[in-house]
Amino acid sequence: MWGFTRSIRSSSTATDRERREIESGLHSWAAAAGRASWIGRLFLAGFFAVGVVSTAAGQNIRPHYVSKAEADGTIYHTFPVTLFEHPEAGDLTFDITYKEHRTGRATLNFTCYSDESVPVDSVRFVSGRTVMAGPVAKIYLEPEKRGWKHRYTFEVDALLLCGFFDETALPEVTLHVGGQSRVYRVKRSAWRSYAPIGCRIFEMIRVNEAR
Amino acid sequence: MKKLLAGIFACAALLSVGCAKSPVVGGIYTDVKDGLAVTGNAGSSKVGTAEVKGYVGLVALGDASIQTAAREAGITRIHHVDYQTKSYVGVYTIYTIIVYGD
Repeated sequence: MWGFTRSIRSSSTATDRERREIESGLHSWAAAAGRASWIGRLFLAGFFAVGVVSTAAGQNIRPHYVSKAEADGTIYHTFPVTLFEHPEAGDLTFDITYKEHRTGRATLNFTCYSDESVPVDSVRFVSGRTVMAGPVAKIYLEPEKRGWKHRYTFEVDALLLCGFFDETALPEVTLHVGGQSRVYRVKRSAWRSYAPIGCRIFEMIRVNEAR
Repeated sequence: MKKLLAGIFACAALLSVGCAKSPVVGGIYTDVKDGLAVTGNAGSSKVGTAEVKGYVGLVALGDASIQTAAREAGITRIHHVDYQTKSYVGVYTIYTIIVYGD
């Protein structure tokens, strides 16, 4: 879905020449599809439906989390999102799990990549005035084609999460690895899309837990 | 040639809709969650996911095994497993495994 959102946005910033090429391509494709009678029309309608459905889904929080009611409280989980990137190390993907009536702590798991197998010591998520920092626990490291894939977990105060997803902030993630720091900066457009969703999810959790 | 290509793409899209793993499949849009397995282990405090993606019914990539989803969250005792299928006209399909456990 994110891929579709990105592709729609990138097409809106195309140059005139690219736009003309796209339009001419669509015209010729539509002409061919028209000749292919109902199959072509069905396919065109399908593409239109993809655009409508993916846009509508982007404004709804339901596709971004799952919840399950259990005997000792509901468990919530946000699907992994890639909002941060480092120019050399690449993307950082994270997901959050929260279980009601525990200690008020949420579990934030994240994946990052590195040329080296040196484990991360601690992490610091900063967004506006909200700071979530602490030592991380390693889940696994595994070699990839180039470098290593790292997976870590750490616990955060769940009350901070709604404040963390501040649409107007420019958050950063700092990883501390063997005495060195690696700063991941937010992908601004991705953050503006996701931050209101993240905030609404954790606002919903807070309201439900308080009942 | 263009007619042939349009036909191939339409057939591929329709074929991939039929291949989406779901108890109910929508021809234009599918967003379905379903249960896959339940164990005798009690409770869950961790959730792990893994997914595969398919494009135009021609290319499919990923690892949506239960083992991978459990490993993503450090789960060693699985409580139950759900899955979610999303499909947009069969052009773009996502299959996600969701593992709950401790």
